Amino acid sequence: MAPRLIIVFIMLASLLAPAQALADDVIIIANKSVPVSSLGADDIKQIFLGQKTTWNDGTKINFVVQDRTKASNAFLKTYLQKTATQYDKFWKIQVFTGKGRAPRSYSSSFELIQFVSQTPGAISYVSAGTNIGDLKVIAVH
Amino acid sequence: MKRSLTILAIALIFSCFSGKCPAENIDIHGFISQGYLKTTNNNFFGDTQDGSFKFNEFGINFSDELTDQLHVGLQILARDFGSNGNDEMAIDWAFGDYRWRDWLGIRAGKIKAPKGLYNETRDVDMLRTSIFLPQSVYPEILRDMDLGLLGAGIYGHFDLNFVGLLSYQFVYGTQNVDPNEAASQALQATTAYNTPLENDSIDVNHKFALGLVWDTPLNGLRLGATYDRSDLLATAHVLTVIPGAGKGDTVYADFKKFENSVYSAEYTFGNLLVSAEYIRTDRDFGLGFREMPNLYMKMTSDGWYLGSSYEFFEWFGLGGYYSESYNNTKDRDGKHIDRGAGNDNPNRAYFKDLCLTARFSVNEYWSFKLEGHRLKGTNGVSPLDQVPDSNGEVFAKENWNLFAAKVNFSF
Repeated sequence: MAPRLIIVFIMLASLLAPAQALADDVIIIANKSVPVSSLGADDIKQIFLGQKTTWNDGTKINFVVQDRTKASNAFLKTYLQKTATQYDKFWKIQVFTGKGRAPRSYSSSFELIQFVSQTPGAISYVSAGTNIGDLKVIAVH
Repeated sequence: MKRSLTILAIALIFSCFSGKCPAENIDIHGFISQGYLKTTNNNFFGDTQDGSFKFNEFGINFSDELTDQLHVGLQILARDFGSNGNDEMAIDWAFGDYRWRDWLGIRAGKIKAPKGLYNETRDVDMLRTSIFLPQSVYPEILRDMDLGLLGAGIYGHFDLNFVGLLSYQFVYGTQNVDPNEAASQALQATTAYNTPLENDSIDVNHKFALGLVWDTPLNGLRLGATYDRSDLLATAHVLTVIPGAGKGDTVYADFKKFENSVYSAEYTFGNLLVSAEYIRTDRDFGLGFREMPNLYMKMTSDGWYLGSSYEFFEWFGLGGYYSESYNNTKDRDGKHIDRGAGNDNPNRAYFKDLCLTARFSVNEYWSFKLEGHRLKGTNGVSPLDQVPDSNGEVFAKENWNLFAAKVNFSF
């Protein structure tokens, strides 16, 4: 019985391990005005799908994304369970039905960080280890 | 109206591309697609037995965020599909959207009605692997009655915490249905296959539609249900003498109830997408010659499909589905179709479709698709597209094939 349990555990662990590694690859960053210091994974998903549009104090959430970078792929897979193509398609559906506007996208981390630091309520993500200046790092619980 | 739309669209495009956009934050997106259809034995919207290029869509939309909560936009669409559309521009959707809270927003204008998971995006070909959506749930012949609705509605999302997210949408209003478009052919087909009628008007008095989508706690699994109901009056005039009416007489088709219920499931796992939907359509209608009908009938149609697609690479994906629909659930094989009224073809009772598609993407803007259908039955196929025999009668064949190719550009 025990060996079987160990095998099941190893299989489960092997399934979870890549997701954890991917999660460690990116950090969630936010403008200093953002009124939270931690978010749940579901909150992050809803924010980047445009389903949660305001912070708890009623101010607007300004989320921006990266173009198809390694960090972006890791973020989408970990928190939204989508590929970059699926994420693009999700926003095309919103755009062509009039239900939403695609998020602003940056090819350079420098420009993205600059936008987040200058825009109240802004939130995004970058590769772990990126110099983010005075931005807030959001913990994920 | 159409000329004004053309001028408005061209003016906006040129002013924005020249850097003088009327509002700095206007977003502009669009799509262009051109297809080719070839069928054996029967025609499918146009003279497709000889091959037809009358199969395209052009759409452009403009949207702006006036405040954090108020958003406006419109999409102009021109399409050609056999004898429908003829590439004339029309407003596809145009509404103001005030999002008060995430759980409550209000839209007013011309709004797309929810029906199944994919009705609102049915004209935007690049959003799916297949060229045609399954005809059981998204019949091309009823497209005009399934889409835009002039009115208002509410929508929102409820975060259910550990049990997922629930999205809802409710719209109420009326519709302008062009009597020269495909929906008219469906109504004509209600009375007789070898139709001696020509539609004059389709007046939708009221229509409402409700949609619910539950993003379940199981990642990638979405369940949905939609319900729509309308009441409408169609009038036609008789082209040749038929039992009970002479040439030129008016025929009334009064639908006290025309309702669709759709139940949907979609599961995405990595690059695999599996979807299934079931539709039930209930009609409570009467036909009257020269005067409004006094005898009403009830009829129930239904249909379902199971489909799947897999994206092997960003540039290549394969998809397919099997779909069945029945015009009358009490006569699925057409044995009881009234031959005396001109409904002389049992295969009009059903439509079975096995579809396979290959999608090739050149880049994020361009894609190309090839699709084959093995078809059985002609329910939902326009009778006006078929070629009459030497006696002027139409006998659509039961078994036939459809090949479709389409190239898309979007930005």
